[in-house]
Amino acid sequence: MNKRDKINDLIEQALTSADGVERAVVKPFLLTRINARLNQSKETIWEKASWFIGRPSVAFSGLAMLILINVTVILFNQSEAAPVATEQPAQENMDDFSYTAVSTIYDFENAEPQ
Amino acid sequence: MNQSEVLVNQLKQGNQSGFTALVDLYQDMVYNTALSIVQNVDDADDIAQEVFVQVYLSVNTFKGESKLSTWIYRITVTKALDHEKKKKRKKRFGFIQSLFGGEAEEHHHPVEFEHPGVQLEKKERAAELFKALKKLPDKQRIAFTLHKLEGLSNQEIAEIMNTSLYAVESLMGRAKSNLKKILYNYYSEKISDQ
Repeated sequence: MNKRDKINDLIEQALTSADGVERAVVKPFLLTRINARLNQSKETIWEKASWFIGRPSVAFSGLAMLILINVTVILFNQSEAAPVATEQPAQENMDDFSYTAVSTIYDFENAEPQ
Repeated sequence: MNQSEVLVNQLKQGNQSGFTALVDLYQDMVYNTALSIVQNVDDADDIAQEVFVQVYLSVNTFKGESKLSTWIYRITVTKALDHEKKKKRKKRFGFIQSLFGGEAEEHHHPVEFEHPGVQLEKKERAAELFKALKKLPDKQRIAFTLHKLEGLSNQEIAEIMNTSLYAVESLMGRAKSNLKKILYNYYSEKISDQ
């Protein structure tokens, strides 16, 4: 047998060496290891969430949004609380600022006889 | 309703016994496919775990358009290839780290992979075949592995690889031709050295 034939024979042997290969056996307790990994992956969802929130871009965007909302709310409230000029009858004003005006329950009860 | 449809329905309802039955039914298939691709017992075990976690988490996306086994095969192949890429990246990073004086992780380079299911008298040739397989492009390697080691038909491989039957036949042809070239070079050197 010359060199070339010998090589071709070895190639053929190699190509057919996997024919009729038997199944390799899985290590025991695969299901237990899978369940452990599943529990671990559930934990990492929260870890991923905290990692995402903790990213500088997300944190700063969130902070900027919070400040913007606060400023908007303050400005909105200020414009609503601006004094509105109303005309009141003169007598009403006098009653309000009058020294003798009765304004509390105590005053009602202890009103001096006139 | 066949067995796999029952299992999928049970899984979708969050039934733990359904998941146990599914792992029991497909663990050999998943582990052996992963083992043939990554050629490492520990890595194959790791991938098998990842595959079943993925199946559990994404069973609601399974629409039943393909067979359950085809879907699981697809996940296994994808995970195994991802695992290999990650390992290569790690190895490259370790090498760069060692160049800059850092403490790189130690990597063991197994010289030859011995498939536990190969007959004793064929072990040497099989190790050489597995070594040559590592040098093939991914698609050729997957097609050849699924056909030779999993015993799947070209039609089944086409469904798993999401390609046409013609493409699989072409991949198989190129895989065999490339393997012959790789093995020819290997044996030429080996015989010359003797």
